[in-house]
Amino acid sequence: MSRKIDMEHLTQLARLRLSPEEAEKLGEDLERMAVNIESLSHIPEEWLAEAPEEFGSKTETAASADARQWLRPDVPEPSLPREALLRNAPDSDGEYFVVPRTLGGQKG
Amino acid sequence: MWIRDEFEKNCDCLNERESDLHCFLSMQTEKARARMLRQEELLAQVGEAEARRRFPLLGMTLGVKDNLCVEGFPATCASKMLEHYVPVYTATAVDRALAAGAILMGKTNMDEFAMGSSTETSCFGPTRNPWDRERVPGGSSGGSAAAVAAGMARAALGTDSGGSVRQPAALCGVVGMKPTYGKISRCGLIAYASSFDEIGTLTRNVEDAARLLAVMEGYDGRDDSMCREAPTSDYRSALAGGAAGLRIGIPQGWLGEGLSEDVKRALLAAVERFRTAGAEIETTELPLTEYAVPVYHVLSFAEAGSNLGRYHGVLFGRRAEREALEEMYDATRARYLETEVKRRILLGTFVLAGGNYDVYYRQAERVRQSLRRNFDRAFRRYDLLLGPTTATTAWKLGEKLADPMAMYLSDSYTAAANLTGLPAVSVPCGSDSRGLPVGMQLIAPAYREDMLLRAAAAWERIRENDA
Repeated sequence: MSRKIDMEHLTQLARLRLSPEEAEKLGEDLERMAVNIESLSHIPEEWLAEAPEEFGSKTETAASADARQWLRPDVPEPSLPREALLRNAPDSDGEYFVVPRTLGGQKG
Repeated sequence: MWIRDEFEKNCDCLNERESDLHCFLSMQTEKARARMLRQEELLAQVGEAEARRRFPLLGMTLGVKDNLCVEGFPATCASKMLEHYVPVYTATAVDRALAAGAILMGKTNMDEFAMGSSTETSCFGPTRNPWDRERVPGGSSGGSAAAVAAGMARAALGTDSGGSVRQPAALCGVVGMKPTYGKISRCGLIAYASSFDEIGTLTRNVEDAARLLAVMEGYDGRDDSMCREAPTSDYRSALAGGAAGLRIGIPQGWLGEGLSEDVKRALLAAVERFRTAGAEIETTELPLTEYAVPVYHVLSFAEAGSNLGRYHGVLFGRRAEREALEEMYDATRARYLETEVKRRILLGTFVLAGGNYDVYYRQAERVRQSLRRNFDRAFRRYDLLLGPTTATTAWKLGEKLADPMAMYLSDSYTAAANLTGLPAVSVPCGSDSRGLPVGMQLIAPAYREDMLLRAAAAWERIRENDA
């Protein structure tokens, strides 16, 4: 039995405002998907021999777990120019990103 | 000269078919022509050998998926959210391909943010399959696969998080390869699910896949998840290796329920031909592969939910103007993200939400680790694993669009290689009763792209000899 999906809570967490029709349709889809992923809980324990503590242990095929942790030298490097990066912003004053006020009203 | 002839052929195909197939979201054929002419001049001056030494990809026309950044050239991810986004740097892999002589033809169509298996979730309209315009090309790198299949570019780059290079390659009858995770830099690849996303190639033949890989692979200080000491090989000599002596396992589950008769028939015929050429092939057990799709959904959607949090109308992309900041976030995401993206963000948020994390995310991570272990074990006995790339050949446009669960099953045979980070390729292996292409998938141990390319090239020669 899959867990109940609280669409209102979920859309708040994901910052996705949905129309009532969209919420109903996506809610149904999510219920079906939740049933599908629930199958993972029914896999017999003996098929999953590795304990959770062993996550990240070295295996031959695990490319991402395989890569050693490296640190970059602590040396400052030039970054992309601010002007170029701000060019893609919906709104900026040439130096900063501009956003609406957090408590309503005008831009700040 | 051949450079000009090949280029003009590509342009002819573009002129004839692009308005119908819609493989590209933006093109730059005039800039490409200028580059081709410069290469032709160089070729005349220094000769073929020297020109190829300087530019290993000399004359290779290239389509690039629209989630890969090219400085000064739009990268929309086929989303309204990034409709006007123009990257300020070039993806390392693209940069290396262009520096090696590849000629950029344009940016190819895809599912929105690479979320889809048919290229139908593109906000700028679907791509059609060159073999049958009423059918999908697969996805999410459908524009790349269709452009290569239609002859609009010699090669194309795609990205593969659950099968998005191999699946459209199978449906369009081309070669689609993704190397080991960490072998090609992800710098400049707009993220969907970071522990799955990989850049791959779509080509007419295996040799071109090898040439592109040789140029694009290698450590790049701008992607910290790369393997610094990834082994490399002389792929050209690997191509000549032949099928004799290859030990190949076919996971039993991949021939069972869900596989269409057409695909199964073509696949088993290919297996017989491989055997005749000297490969040792047998079926084998590979437990947990049947869970690859749900595991992929839990983990990749969780990563997507996090990665796509950056689209909130401040840093880049579109903004829906509102008086207050939080209202602006919500309105922007509601207006400029489409349904499939919302669906994945919501499921990703669900599996990470309080109380659900252990049940879904942690359990999926456990299965992912166990699946890796099972592949490790299989590779003690086999050089390669073989199976179908897709359950069916290309389906009709619109057929699965309203049923996300049916669409998600498109990843059934491909997702395991993403969960394990293993190199895999789809090669054409015949056709169904309608004449639509069928793909065969090969998977190799980590960093054994040489083995993968050897087997794929051997198979290509078997097919050529049969033809």
